[in-house]
Amino acid sequence: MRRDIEPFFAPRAVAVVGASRTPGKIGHEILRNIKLSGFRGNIFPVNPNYGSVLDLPCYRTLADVPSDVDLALIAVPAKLVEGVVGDCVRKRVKSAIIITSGFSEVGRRDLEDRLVSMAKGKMRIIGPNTFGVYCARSSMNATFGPTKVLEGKTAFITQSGALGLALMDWTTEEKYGVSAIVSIGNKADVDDADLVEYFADDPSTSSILIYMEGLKDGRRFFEAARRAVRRKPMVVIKAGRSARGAQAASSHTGSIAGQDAIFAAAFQQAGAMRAEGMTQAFDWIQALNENPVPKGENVVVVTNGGGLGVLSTDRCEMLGLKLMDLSDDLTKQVQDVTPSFGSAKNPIDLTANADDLLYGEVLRLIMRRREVDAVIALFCQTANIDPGLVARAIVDARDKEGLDKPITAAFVGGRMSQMAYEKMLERRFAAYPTAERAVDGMNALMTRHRQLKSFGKGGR
Amino acid sequence: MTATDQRKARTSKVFRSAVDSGRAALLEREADSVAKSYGLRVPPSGLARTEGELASLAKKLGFPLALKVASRDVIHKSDIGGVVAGVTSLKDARSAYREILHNVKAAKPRAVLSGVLVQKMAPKGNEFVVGGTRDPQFGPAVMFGLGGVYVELFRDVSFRLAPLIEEEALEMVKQTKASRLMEGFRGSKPLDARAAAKAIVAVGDIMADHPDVDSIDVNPLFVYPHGALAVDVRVLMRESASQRAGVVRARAPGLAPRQRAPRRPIVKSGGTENGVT
Repeated sequence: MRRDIEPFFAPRAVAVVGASRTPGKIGHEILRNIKLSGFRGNIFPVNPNYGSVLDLPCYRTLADVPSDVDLALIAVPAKLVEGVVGDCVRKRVKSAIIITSGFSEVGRRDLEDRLVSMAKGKMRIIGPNTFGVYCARSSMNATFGPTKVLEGKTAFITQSGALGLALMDWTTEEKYGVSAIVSIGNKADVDDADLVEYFADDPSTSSILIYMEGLKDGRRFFEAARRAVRRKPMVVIKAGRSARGAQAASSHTGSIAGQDAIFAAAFQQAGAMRAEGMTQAFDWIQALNENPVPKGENVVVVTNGGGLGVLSTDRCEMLGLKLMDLSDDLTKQVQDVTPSFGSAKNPIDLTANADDLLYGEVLRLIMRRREVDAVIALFCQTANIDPGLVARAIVDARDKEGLDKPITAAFVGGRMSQMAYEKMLERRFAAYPTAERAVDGMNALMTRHRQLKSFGKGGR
Repeated sequence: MTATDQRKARTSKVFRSAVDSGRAALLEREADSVAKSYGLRVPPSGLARTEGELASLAKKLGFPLALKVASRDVIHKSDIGGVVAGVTSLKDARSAYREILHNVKAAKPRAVLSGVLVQKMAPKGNEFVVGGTRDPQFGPAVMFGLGGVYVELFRDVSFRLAPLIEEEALEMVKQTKASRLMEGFRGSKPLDARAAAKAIVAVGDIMADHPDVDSIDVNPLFVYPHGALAVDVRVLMRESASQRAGVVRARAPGLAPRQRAPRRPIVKSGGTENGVT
């Protein structure tokens, strides 16, 4: 357990240095979010100009705060940050998040280094240039982002501030919950490796998602990621594929090894799944969070339309997912309940007349079978069947028979289909608007299955 | 000391002598000796400093042979006529020997020669390439891919950080399209993918053990149905390593006599191959 990192996420007392009464100011928004998010510890605004802020007594300096402080949020002008960090160290504050910008991102690495050396061995620092930290377990939203965040199981670490804030809103909107959000900023002190180590141990986090632009110490991240992946899945979005390190032209290896190729190798070797972009990353995370890991490679697809069946088959083939051959026995069972069903092939095509009852019955049949390891359920909106009912039948079938097997679903169609899969998300079901994405989600689970299998065989 | 420690200590001497004499690359025989210490198979060879030595080497190694100039001052040997391959008789060997010395003398009159490297030519295998590189972020890394003249066209390569284990190296092989050659492509025999993986592991171990190495190129690595052979091994040293050595030299010029040795194209000297037998 990283005890030095813990105070960022489970502080008993938080100080907001630079707290403000003016709505819209960062020092106001952060304090407001901490207060409104239901944080149970003590909150101490610090600002010499006010007696109180947001109905909390406000202190002139950190030294005046009448209790120990575990976490200080620093939102003062850049030129005052060094003084505040000094105050923190004297007050024995355990951790500080420096929101203020104007450091290495504008070429002032020297200022940043000074802060880190002042705090060395005494206090850990996140930032500078961050939007803060959210932690579901502590009901603490110490960010100046959206107030309401949906609680979930993924720890999200982001190097980008603006994109991170946007995603924070988006995760809630799209019903992807998070266990924590960390805006990691300039990584002057705490970096990805520290956080990965912390979240690997964090019982409220079951997957780790990182948006990364660069690393200070790639090797340390690699080692930390490799250890973490043995315990929980990790998905990485790495921006900046194009930069290529200057290499000796006389060496073949050097001229072929772009920086990105090495990043890709490091992720792969560590077992971190690299997503091409945001949609894919969240699709994977959702499938991983809402499902058990498959015990084998046998996938069955159930659909009500030939087109979706073909599309999903193509996608499975491309990604290396194995559509199993159905046993005679299972084929017969399915035929018995589906009068119009004629072929023993996988995908199982229930045809356009399939209603919620048929979906439920067939899925229960399939999910009871030991030889089936994973299921993908697809539905095309038709004129006479209510997608909402089918969605409910699929989730019920999983809850009744399939809790030991992973299942993803796609609802393709208009408004009603969208409502249907959103309802599924609320019931913690990995549902998507297209067949390809449902297959992608399943692919993340299958990748995880292979990883765990290789760990079992002593792989590293 | 474990066996791997011993290996590291033994090969460190080779690198140190290269760095101390301000060279940016290992000599071919040095590179081969390091490669061998790490379990890479290299073609049998020897250094001929006289025609008499050439004759006894030819007898020992058998034909066909490749003759290559051995000089710290000649990196791109074939560009100046410093390589003759496909030598199948002693008579041819003698004339190739003279031709090489003549060519080198004409193109690089001031080059210090160690002699002529006499190498047994390997039976043609499927060409792959194994490389070692050093990334500023991640440190030592290895590359594997299809070899030959099209390496840079197809870029059918995969990378891993080093050091790595054999299973990881096998995965690297499988990740390339060239792995289909390993499985036996269009009726040809399957190739020894595990031997290729062992070569990758070896290159990774050299990179990880020796921070002064900038890059390694094994190109080609011949892979056969049984075994693999590192036909050409090139090892480049990091600039910082020779710069460090340069600082030492500046303070104590007497420590690096080789640097100041008269540059004569004398075949008999052999002075730059110290520490390698």
